[in-house]
Amino acid sequence: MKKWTLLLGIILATVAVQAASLPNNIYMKAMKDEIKRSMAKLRRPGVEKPYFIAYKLEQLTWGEEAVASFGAPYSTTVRDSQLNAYAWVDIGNAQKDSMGFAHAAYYAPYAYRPRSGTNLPKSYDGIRHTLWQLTDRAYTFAAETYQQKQAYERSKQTDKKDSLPDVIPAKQVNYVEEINPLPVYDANHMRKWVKEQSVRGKEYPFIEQFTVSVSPVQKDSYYLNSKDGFYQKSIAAVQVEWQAQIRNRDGFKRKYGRTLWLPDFSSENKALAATYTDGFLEDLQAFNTAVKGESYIGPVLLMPEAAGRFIYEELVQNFQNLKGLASDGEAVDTTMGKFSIEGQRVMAPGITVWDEPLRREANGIPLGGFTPVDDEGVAAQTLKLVEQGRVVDLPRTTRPLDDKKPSNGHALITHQSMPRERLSNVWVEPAEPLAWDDLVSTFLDRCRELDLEYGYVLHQWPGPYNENLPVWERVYLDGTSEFVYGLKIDGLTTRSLRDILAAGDSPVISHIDMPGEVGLPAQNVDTPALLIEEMELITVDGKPDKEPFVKKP
Amino acid sequence: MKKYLCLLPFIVTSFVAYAQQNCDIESQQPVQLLSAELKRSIKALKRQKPPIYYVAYTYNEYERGEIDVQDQGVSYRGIHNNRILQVQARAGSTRMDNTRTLKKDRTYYALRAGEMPEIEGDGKAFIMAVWRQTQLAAEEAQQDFNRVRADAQTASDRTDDSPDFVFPPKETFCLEEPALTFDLDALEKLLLAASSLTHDKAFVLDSSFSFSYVTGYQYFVDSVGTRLKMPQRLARLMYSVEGKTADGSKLVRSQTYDVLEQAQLPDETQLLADVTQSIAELQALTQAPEAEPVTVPAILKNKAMAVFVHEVLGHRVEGHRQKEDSFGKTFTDKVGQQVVSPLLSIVDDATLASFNQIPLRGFYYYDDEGVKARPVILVKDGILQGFLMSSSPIKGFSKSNGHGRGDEGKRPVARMGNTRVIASETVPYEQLEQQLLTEIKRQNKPYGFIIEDLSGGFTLTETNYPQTFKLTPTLVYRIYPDGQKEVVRGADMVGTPLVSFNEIMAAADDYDVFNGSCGAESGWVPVSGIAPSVLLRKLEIEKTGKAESKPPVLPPPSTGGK
Repeated sequence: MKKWTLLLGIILATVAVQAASLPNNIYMKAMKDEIKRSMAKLRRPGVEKPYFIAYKLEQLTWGEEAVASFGAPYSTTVRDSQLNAYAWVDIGNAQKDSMGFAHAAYYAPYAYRPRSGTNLPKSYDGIRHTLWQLTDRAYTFAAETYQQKQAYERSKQTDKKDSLPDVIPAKQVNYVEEINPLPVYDANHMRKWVKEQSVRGKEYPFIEQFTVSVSPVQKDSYYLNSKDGFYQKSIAAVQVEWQAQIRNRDGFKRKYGRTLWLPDFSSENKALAATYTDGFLEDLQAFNTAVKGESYIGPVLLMPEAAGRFIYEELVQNFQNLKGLASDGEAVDTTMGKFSIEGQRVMAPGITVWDEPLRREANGIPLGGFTPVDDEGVAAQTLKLVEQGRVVDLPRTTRPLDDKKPSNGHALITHQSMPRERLSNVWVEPAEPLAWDDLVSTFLDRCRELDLEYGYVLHQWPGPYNENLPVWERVYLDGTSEFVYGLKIDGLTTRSLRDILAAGDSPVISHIDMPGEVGLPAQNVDTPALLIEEMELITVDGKPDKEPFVKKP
Repeated sequence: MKKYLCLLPFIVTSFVAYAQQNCDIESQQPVQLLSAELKRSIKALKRQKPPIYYVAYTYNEYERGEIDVQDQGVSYRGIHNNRILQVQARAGSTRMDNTRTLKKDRTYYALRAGEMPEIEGDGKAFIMAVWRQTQLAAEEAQQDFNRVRADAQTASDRTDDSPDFVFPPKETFCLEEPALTFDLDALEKLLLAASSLTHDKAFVLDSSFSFSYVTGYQYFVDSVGTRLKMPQRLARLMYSVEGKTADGSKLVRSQTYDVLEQAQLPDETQLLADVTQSIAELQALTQAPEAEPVTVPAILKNKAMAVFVHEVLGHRVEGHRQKEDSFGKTFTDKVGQQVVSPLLSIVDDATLASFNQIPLRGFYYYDDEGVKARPVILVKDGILQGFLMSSSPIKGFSKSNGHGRGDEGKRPVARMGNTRVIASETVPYEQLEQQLLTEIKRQNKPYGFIIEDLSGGFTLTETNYPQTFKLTPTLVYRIYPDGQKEVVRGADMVGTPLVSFNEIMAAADDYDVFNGSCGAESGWVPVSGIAPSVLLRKLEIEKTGKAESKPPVLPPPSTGGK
């Protein structure tokens, strides 16, 4: 039943994708007019004219935010929206073009950024003016890259018969949804709520800083290319954040933060957010009373939020940037994913992984990964990436991989990269999900088999981009447990994906926040708890921090 | 006689600035909370090893508003209310503390600064935040002091071994002034109207029109007992129009208006006329010939002279640059000696609130170390008198003279405020131009220069580099012996300070104000310069570097190039 519902969704979305006409707003009109002019007239002596031009505009709108610490409000900003622009130009032709190449002077991924502008004026003239400048810069960059790429290819042995075209053209589609203003929330009401939540921090003497914030935010996206592919979409959400610093009973200072994305700030969602405050304070309490950990090799049960980050780091990132950038330098494209061959065994059997770019929410939680049309103007398709532990499909762009298959609508830009293979909403589905009690039994049984006294449960993944503490819980064979600090995972590799022994039956969506990204994160992972057969945990060296010079007031 | 008339206005202004304390410092809630927390903690802090022997809190509570407009559209409009606490903690002793510049390692000028909650009820959340910031600042100060101690053990001897700190005197001051208020909707309309003037100009490649203001208070509390409350008030409308020649030379015309109330801003007619003039100047520059390297007589117009003095002399008389061995110390041993033309005296007077009704951005009551601002005579009749001092003593100058300044989150060092040039003899500007023509003929030069406007530049003060300056004029005229003027582009002013300042032959009576922001080790601080136009016997001009890329292939879309 589930699959049928999903397919129906795809069909509906596909219909919508093909039916739209170009909206008559300043964003689309400015992009259309500048593309038309540039395609017709942009030509530098001795340089080919553009073969392809694409623009993306992103408008971020913030509502009035509310921030409080220990019951006292912080100052806030009242500001209008921020409009940012990205532009890229390709010269040459489908067989040989200027993209997919990074010049030696740069670290390869850095050489592959779209030209961008921030804080554009919100007027037709202002947007066009910026697009004009960005197009010129992108054209100059493409001209230089084209020369460098040709010189590079001349220096290499190539088999013309088998050589891949640079681009396999794909059908251009469009998607348009109405863009409404960000809902206005009662700022006083939000302030009252954050004060009420943050004042609870006063009850815990070991908490040195505790801040709760609520920020409504909306991201509107407008895309148009010279082949008439376009989209217009919008997503609004309310971000609730908790930030704290504690000094645990052993004297270690630790920062901890959590984020919750909500579709709105209704009474129901406020109540949900309040339960997160409870959970957050419980986590802090656990940190305070936690005992110092010891090195460990054995099974680890990843709770859904930790599992989400684990899947992102070990699986999602290896399904991205699959087509490596050619480069005339020594620079290695470290962002290139490893899972680029269909049939490759990458996970334990019994797990299916989907990428579902057409989903815009999960259990009422908005998903920033909603992508009806990709950044090459191609309809995004739902993909079954992994089945029975093997790769069954890959995200593809118009720049073909070695198997020469056409795009499936997974070319996405980021502020750091022109379009490359990228996932959006990743769903992990175990074939035989276990109820919580059964999962814990399996976990402890495995510990027994290995003659271990206890195993570890990881509640929060220590993210590289946030200051989250890893939240470890040591679970003894009799079911009793205690929280532990001072441990980190050592030597994590994709091997752990193949070591998944079992999975739970209650998935949770994790929004993968990235540095520099504003608004609802564009990548999400929905996964249940995962039991990993073996992980190596090592102690984090360090001595307790100094006692405060002056007692806390 | 003229000299005294010039000095009189700022003596009066200084008097006004200090005569109007109108509130009770002890009843100010931020001062009460900060003082109480400092009193509670200072004994314990002094007992630490190394001791935290001095603590100062700077608490800024202000509103900042901004509107940015380009191409007839608003790119940003927002109002932010800020509450920032900055903690200066000194570890060690006045003899050697954590703020000493390291010889063998990098010196950090950052200060612990963080956002603060509103003061509500008993202010407990505010106090918690103060306590936390203090702890962090004290820990950082101790770490820095350990680096200083390690550096001192192996680095070469310091030429000037003066102590690192002198305690500032205890002060109290409390002044409240009405908050600045502006009609932002009307200002947005005004900026949009001005922006529309660039609409069909193919040579205007970029433009920006903006208005910003800051209004609020700064509180200062330290462990010596100083308690201050001072208004923070700045507002500025500015615009710039930019172009590029076919060969890649970047061209800019810009204008700023510093005010303290909306009525002081130019009305629409005036602003549009000014923008029109700037656009015309930009167009003239795009067609202007490029300047050739040459040494000829020149006039530095008043605002350009103010920037020249700021860059070339001002930075070199900042106290800490006389102490640290990494600096060139051009003037360190020249107190009592002639360093500039005897025609000139130079005073830095941060107590001067305005000049000719123009608010001065370099005005303040107390510096960022809690020391009272005062006029400091740097040069009298060409002879160097002293330096701008923070609370870091130097040989022969043991106390601050109220010039310890720094941006939010930056440790204060000696900086300029309002740097004023006073000429002992002046002539009307027209006469100065005549003197220039005479000098061109006398030197048998084909032409001279009038430096109308100067955007800024840089001056090398570190000992590893030659003690030179390079300034970037944005509007320069070549003037021929027959008086004809021709705008030229791509002319940079270069030279060395000791030579250049002695080339000043005469000055005009057209004093004017340059209001700007100055960036250095302690961040960006608002500054002003006041100067007359001056005639230089000779000025060296060299070509300006060009941008990396050519102008865009297509004309701007607003010109109709579809």
